[in-house]
Amino acid sequence: MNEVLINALMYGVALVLTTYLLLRRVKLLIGRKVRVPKPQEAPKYTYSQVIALIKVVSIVLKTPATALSLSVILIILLISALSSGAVLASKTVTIEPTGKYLIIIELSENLPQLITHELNFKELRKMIRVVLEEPLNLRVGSETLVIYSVLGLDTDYGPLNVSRECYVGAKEFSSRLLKIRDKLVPIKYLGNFIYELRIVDGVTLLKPSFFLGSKPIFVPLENTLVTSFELANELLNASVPITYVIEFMSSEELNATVPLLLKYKEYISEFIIVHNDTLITYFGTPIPSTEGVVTSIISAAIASLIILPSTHAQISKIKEVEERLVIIGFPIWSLSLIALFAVISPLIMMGIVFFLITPLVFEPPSVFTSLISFVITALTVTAFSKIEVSKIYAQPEITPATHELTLVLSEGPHEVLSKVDTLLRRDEFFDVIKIDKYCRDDEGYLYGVLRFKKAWGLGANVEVMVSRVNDGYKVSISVKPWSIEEISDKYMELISKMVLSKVHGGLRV
Amino acid sequence: MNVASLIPLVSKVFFRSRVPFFAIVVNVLTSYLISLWSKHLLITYLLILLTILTSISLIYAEKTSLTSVFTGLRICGAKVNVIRGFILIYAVLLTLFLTIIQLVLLKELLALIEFIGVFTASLTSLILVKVKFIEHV
Repeated sequence: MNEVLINALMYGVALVLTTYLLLRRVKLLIGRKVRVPKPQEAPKYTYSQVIALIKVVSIVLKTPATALSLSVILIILLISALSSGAVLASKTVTIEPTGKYLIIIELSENLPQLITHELNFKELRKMIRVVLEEPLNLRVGSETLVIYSVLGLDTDYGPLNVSRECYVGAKEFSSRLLKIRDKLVPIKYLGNFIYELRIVDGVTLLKPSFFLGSKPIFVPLENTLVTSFELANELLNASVPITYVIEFMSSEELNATVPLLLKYKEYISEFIIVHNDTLITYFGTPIPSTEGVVTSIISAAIASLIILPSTHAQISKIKEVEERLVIIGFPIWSLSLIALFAVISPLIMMGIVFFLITPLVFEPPSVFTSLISFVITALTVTAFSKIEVSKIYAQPEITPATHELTLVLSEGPHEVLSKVDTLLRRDEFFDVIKIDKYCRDDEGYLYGVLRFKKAWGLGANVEVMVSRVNDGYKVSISVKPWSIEEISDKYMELISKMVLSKVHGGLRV
Repeated sequence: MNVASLIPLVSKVFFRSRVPFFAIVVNVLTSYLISLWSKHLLITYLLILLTILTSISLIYAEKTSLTSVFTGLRICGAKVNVIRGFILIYAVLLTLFLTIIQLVLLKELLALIEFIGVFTASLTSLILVKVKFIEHV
């Protein structure tokens, strides 16, 4: 029965589908109204300049010089990041000789097993020294004791008998009982002596709230609790950093242990080394090492030196399309800006991408050293590219430059051309490569090729034509500067002016 | 124009161009960094890669100044073979400078790796540049 139903369903679907396709075919054969699309308006070239700008950047991007520059930047940033060698910030102070070799280390709550199991120190003391952000409210009878600073000691310390009592700086609670979990602990008054107690000279037993200059500022005694390590641990639910005081027999033993502990610097919030009379305090913030910073600066210098010559090749590439840019409608003054933008933008883009990715892979000190490299390189390349661009795109002075000059003189062609010949040959700025002279009756022609002495591959061609005009002779001087290198119009016009002024002045005098 | 007259021209180009100076400074700085981070292999190899890129980059950049020299040589009537000789002398001078710096500043294996890297890179880029120039000229 089921099979019959399935077959009927299949045949039904096939019939409907065939009918639909047939009807569609018939409709097509009969014909139907076709909507003729309206003629579209020609696209407006509103963004043509933006597109041109993008194309200029893409021209620069396609050059091998850009590929080289980007590779160099990437390698430099990686070198800077890898060589940062993050170390903890430190401060060294000379103290009274203690005769001890100690490490005082405060580790975050995530890593107590490091000290107790992995490194397995023998001479070890542990304590809780915390200043709380949120107060700890303890009930003493019907009253509340507000605690901001807790000191938990594993053994009795001087006048502090923490194994049997706890200490609070509020006199009214003295001799009463403090209930911690199920235990009742007698309270004793905590005097000012607590400020004088030290783990070692220079390190107070009670943790300062902050420092005012070098002076430690503590939480008021009324809000301070000193108790045993276990009770403090219970009160704070073991969610606080623990301070360990590790004593060593010798300086060598201590020195060997420091690198082992510094491997876990991300868990260290306080690290103090006592070398008999030297106290070195490391702070929890990792900073780049001196070598790292030096490397990043040198790397930036290397990158700049490698990229700078490449920018010249890139700018020359843009120079090739400058006519097209002018046709599109870019003003001439904007060409240098476009060239600068095209050279700098790939570097900036590369930097942005790098600094979006690096914080995910590297630590902050590495990002910092890479940033130093990048900023120095970017600034140097921008500054020198600007100089390079301004050389190539330099515009001539406002004074219009003349390449041609016409004079009317009384001398004949032979005298004029001989004078010009002598002037050019004696010129201090130009060497004569060739001079051709031709004189006939009242007409004369001189063609000279000059080479500028102060620069290689730069010179000018001079043409002087002399012809008869009424009572005198018309002298037409034409100068065409040339260069085998790509130099700016400004310099070309300078050459032109020098030759013209020489010939003009010589003929006038 | 003979080969003897090329030598003063080559030395003139060599000492007037910024590129050999850049190459020398970059190589000195890189060598210092390599010796500073010689225990950190990844940084060392990145620095060696950088030196190789430096050679390629600087010789590529030298194209502009060399182009004018070649055009000048052609104007003076030099044959292609003479220009090839010029390139060869220039290449040898530049590569010699780079490799001497590496050999003086670095020692043993690092110096050897640097030498091979820089020499190969310089020659490769010079061959590339030479092909381009010959086409251009």
